[in-house]
Amino acid sequence: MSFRYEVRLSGDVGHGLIMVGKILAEAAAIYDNHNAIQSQSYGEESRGEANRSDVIISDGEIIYPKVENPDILLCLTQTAYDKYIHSLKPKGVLIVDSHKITDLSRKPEGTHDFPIFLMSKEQFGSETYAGIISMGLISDFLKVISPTALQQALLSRIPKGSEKLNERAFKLGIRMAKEERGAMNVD
Amino acid sequence: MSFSPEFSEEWLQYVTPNRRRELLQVLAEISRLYQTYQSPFVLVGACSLLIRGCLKYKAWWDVDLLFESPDEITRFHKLSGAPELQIVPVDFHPIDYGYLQSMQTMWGVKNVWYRVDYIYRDEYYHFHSVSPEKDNMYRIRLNLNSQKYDLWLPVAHPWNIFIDKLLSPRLKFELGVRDGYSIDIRHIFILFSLYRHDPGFWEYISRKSTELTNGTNVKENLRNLLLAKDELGYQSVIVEEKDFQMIDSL
Repeated sequence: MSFRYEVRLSGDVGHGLIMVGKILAEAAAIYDNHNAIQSQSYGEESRGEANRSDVIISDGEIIYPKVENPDILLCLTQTAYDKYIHSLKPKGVLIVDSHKITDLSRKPEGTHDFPIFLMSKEQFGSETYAGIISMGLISDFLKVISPTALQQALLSRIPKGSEKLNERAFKLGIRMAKEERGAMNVD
Repeated sequence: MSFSPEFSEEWLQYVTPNRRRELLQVLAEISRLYQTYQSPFVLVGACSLLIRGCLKYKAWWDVDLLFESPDEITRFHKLSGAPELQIVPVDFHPIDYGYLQSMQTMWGVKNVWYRVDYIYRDEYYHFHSVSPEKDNMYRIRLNLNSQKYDLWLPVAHPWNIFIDKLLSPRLKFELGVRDGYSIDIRHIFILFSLYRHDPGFWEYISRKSTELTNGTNVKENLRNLLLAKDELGYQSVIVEEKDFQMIDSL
């Protein structure tokens, strides 16, 4: 059965979400032979606006190239959540950072909160890896892109010499998602 | 129409095979518009570096066109379109981001899509229109699967792109938060590594950056970026004392 998934990643400058969006698209289109689209919007930092990266992945033709109602929405800041929560599809998956988003006025059934920045700091000494950890989380929910393809796309994008840390961050994200889903008894 | 043999088609191998035809169709249509309407724009960004042979890896490619004015963006958007091409605006007019205006569109060929961004940034069209070469026109006839694609459009010079990216306000934020995943930072390091041994490169940077109002920031931004290379994950990039001497002489 044909699929079309819309993914929206939102956060601040420095969260690496533009690159994560490109990695998702590259993994899908270059390494997994799906069809994909990626677009982005750089928020104006001085106005406190969120960065946004949108990805569409399909195994068939993509008739309409814009993300309107994402199946998966990642919000790494309160600003991003406030701006994009209304776009989430009714039964969509919301992934948030449990410490950065404190006001969840709309908390859909598919909400998953993770201590993404905290784990990045604890495991890697810096919040820099939050984007890659998030990519691991998303890949476990999305399931249509193979982890191998994501790893290949990741390794082609990051500075040489930083492969080990980034792979660890990616795998940490997958593990966090699996542990949470195991705890929730979700298949 | 005559074609320049200097540019090669080697760059096409870094476009994933199932998206090559579509990118060539998009670039061919942009070329047609350039030729037919003398639309004043320059191809900038990652795609320009790809065509120039600076980026040699498979990636997700977008097309960025830098226009002379917001009115020219609107005119180009109204004129664009060919029977086999779908154009879907993501924005319906140029959006003001403070330091630049941008209008995002999606160009599709049989539902394979490329993002084509129309950009305006004060001073920058004229900045990119002049380069170390006689002209910056990319003229080539490419063959793919028995189909010919005529490309004829101005492509930004990598040395101008280097300055452009160093002066982007976005870079300041990305450097401030040590964003090692920044695409702009990646390109700057690639260009630095490619050209750092060329004295002509440093002479050009020194002279050319004076054309821009904030051009004096090139020296400080480059110095700060190179000093932070390890924190950004770019330990493998070679930077020597003589590079800092060249920067100091800018």
